[in-house]
Amino acid sequence: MHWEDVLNNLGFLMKGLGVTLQLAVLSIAGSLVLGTVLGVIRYVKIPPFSPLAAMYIEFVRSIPLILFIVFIHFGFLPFILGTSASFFVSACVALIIFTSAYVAEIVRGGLNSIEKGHIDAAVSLGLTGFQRLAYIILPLAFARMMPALVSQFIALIKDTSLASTIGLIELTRSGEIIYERTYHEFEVLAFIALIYFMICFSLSKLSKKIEIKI
Amino acid sequence: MIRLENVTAYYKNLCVLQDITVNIAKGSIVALIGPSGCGKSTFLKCINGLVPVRSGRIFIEDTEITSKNTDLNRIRSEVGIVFQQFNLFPHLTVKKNITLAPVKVKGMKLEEAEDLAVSLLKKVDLLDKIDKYPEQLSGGQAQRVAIVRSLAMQPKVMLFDEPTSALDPQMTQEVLDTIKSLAKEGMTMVVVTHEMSFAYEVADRIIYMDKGRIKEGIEN
Repeated sequence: MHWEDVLNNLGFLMKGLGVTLQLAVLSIAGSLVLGTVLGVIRYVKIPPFSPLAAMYIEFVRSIPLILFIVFIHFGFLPFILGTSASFFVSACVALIIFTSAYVAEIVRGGLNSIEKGHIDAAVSLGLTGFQRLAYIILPLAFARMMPALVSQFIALIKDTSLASTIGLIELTRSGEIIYERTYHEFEVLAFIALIYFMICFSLSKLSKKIEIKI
Repeated sequence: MIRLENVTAYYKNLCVLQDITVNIAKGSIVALIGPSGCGKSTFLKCINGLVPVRSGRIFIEDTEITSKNTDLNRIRSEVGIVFQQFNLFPHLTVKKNITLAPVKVKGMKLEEAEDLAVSLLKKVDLLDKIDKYPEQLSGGQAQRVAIVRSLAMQPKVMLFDEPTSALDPQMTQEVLDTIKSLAKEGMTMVVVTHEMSFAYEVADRIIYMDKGRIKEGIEN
């Protein structure tokens, strides 16, 4: 076994881990916001916007993430910005667009699960549509959505590894760079897998704590 | 106080209210009885705009709530409704359940709303539950909190939609006592109920409905 490959390159791997974490946190935040907006738009049924949101969701969900990352880096962003974006920005935009479609469906499902009685109560107290969403329906829905959202975000954390395909040096790409030199793939890949596991497992544990509080 | 003129309402293609005309005077207590599915609940829900009417007009005081120009949210804040299933907001404490609407809808100051919550909870003997969540309450307690939540909006009318149907006999009594004490204070009320003895004891008028029509109105 050649664990010294891992030990000797620990600093390099940790730098990659840092990029992975930044990418994951930003993409989770971005897709949560965008997905919630899209989910709410579908839920409240605003004539031109709701069908558009539905089309967006269907379109995004039907294309593999890896193609998104490539298209966005080499086509979409250069077209919009007039110049090429960094690997990190491209990966982040791709992950947000991709995951927001799934989050939107989770949010819509959560909103639809709220009992009519609670909505009737909120309506009859004179709360406006926006107040009902903000104080009653969304908080209740989010409590129910937690398990599904956590699964989705765990998937997102692992999906950040696909950013290696355009050359972003995150955790997976850092590992590749090491074993391309040493030819000892197993040790490096096993180490990386362990790190992904630890991140995802801690997120899962953390969310259980939040769920119990709610 | 409440006037319905030839009100007809549909649920999908089913006619649930047919040509209802009723006049409910200020301070009176009306009990609405009849078999399940006869339109009693729809009757109540029309009065605060939860169910739209197909034709006819509904007035509360002199405001026509069936007119397109009426601000329904303002009317609703003046008409309290208590549901069979309580419908307390499960993620909010008793205090928050009570103060949310007065603060957000009526613009009441938070301290003022909390003082109001305290004094109303005292009346129904539930002050010790103020920081509890709905799931920590018994059915009877939850329903009394739901009544307080409606009262905190200082409504002109209170509507009760089978307020004791989900409760056992002892809890039923707690809730009926609360409604009786409201009656003594002169609140205008419409109560949908299956408690016949309660209807005879408290109501000024008993309306019997069947198949979406008023069959009989009895002065009590």
